[in-house]
Amino acid sequence: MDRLCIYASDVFIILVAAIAIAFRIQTAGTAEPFDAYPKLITGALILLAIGCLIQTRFSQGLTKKESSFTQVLKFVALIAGIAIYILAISKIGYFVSSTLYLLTMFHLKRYGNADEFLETKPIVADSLISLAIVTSIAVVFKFALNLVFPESWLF
Amino acid sequence: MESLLSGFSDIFDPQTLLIMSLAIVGGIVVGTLPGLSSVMAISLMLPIAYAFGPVMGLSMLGAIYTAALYGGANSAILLNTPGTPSSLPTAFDGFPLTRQGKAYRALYAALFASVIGGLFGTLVLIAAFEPLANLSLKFGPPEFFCLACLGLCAVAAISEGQVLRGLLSACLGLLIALIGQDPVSGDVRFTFGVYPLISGIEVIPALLGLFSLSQAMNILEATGSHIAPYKAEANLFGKLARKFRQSWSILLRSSIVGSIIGILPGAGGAIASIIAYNEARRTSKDPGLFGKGAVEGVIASEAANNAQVSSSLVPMMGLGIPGNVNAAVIMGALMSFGIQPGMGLLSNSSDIAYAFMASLVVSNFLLLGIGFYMVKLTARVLLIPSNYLGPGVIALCIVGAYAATYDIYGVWVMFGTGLLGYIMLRVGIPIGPLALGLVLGPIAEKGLAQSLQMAESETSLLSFILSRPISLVLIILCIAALFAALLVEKKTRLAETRRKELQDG
Repeated sequence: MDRLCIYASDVFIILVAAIAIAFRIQTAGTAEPFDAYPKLITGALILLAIGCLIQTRFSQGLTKKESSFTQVLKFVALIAGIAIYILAISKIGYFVSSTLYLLTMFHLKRYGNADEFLETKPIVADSLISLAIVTSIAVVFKFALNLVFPESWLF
Repeated sequence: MESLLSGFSDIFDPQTLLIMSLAIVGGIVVGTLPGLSSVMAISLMLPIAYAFGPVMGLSMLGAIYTAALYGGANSAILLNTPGTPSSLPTAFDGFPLTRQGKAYRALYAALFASVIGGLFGTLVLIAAFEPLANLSLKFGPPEFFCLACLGLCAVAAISEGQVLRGLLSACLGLLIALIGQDPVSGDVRFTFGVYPLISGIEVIPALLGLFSLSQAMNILEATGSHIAPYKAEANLFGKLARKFRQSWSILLRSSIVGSIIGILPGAGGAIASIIAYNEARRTSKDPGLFGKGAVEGVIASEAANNAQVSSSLVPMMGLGIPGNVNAAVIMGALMSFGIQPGMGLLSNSSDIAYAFMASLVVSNFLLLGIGFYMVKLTARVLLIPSNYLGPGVIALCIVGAYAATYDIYGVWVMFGTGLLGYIMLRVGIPIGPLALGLVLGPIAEKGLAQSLQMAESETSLLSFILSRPISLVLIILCIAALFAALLVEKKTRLAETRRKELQDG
């Protein structure tokens, strides 16, 4: 395992332990015997986190993973895109936000790839495919199964 | 026997068979779609079932239940997204098989194992539902707590070479499951002032996030044009027949595990499939293959998963106590027909009871026929380029989470758990145990809190638990599972060293 990756997993495990401590502190106000289970879980989690940190120090020869700045940037953009999509779906509505989101993602995923097809009619093909996906999801969920669907001021 | 034969004659009616076939198709689609559960499908069909009358209506609901539980395997295998919580372990080996271009092998193995497991479970329901229903009454809170512990110990064994990290992940799942109301006292805790958290972390959106969203993000980050190669294998059925001949003991054991756990009210298919999977791995000659694409893993998980479908109806039909939410909805259907479940079902409406049991047998045969053709259709998901598939799965996750919770809050839960799952995958911590912790959390907590109340007059909780024979057996099994985990880890390391030595020299 790459040193950077070890650090990332260490940071994650320490964060988990910190959350367990925060939960443990909140348990203080819980009446007996209802506090037993949260205490058991938080205690176990803290012990396991310590165990994992010790184990990482002695582990060798695990998979090497590297992350470049571009990959991190891509990940942040991906997360931000999904968060904006969720906000848009609740404020604008399913059809418009989903079509726009899919269209943007199709285009971004291909960004920088040399492809003859892309150079000809990517927008038309992508628009048709995103509309088809949005409509088929709506047909199954809303019209066939009559389920509650995200709706807002626009459609 | 006569009653059962008369039940079969009621079912072999062209109209009933047609309705059941349509229900099988619908059930497979619902099970395959992430976010849609068998409960959702069964409840949606309740008004239609009422219009059809008891025999046809119940047969339709039974067919949906059977098919939806199987359908969960399709998305688990093709997209690493378990359609239902009970198909969680199917993804452990099903998706690696897809990655190796063996999607058809995994899909057909899941279908055949589901049908065999389903038939086994139905035979258990027919033959022994009365005595087994009585045994399930002996399961009290301590036994449920021990059962949940067994499920979690089994998790340690399936966390490929990472027992500690697997347990950490499982405990993190249990911790997340604490958020919201205490299942026994009803007190609100761990919400940190966030109002929507009072209702807790909903399991379906959380599972959608952990498995689907994190996977969709992986698809979008990958450089390949497709998630996995789509290819047909030569002599596939010959290879599968050989595999099933070799794995008959796994199939039988998993079906027995599924049937027994299905009978226990509240235990659920997730525990059944995880214990069966763990057993298959423990007894395997090459446990190192599990998690990397072992067909036996898919067989064990799916056989147990579908065996518990029929057996979960045992306490409902025998005692009027629904064993899970699906059984509760079917019980609602029975009551809407004016039939009182429990022992009264056999004495007053035995014809309907046996027709329903016969319909479960027929459902499994219909599933075999219809599922066989639908496999070819579902496997074509692999032909979709990843730049269309990734965003499409994200849109499906969001709509699925919304439909499961009727609220945008469910979508944010899905987003949060998806992010957590993705980070955990990146730092090398398995996410399967976390999902199981989430599912088992409320069962374990309720079991422990009620056991503590029951043990107030005893010297200690441990002595109280150990004084109960079933709990004692389960505790012994927990210890055995942990030892087995360590043993399997050692065996895996030895096998890998040997493989490396062979490669080098």
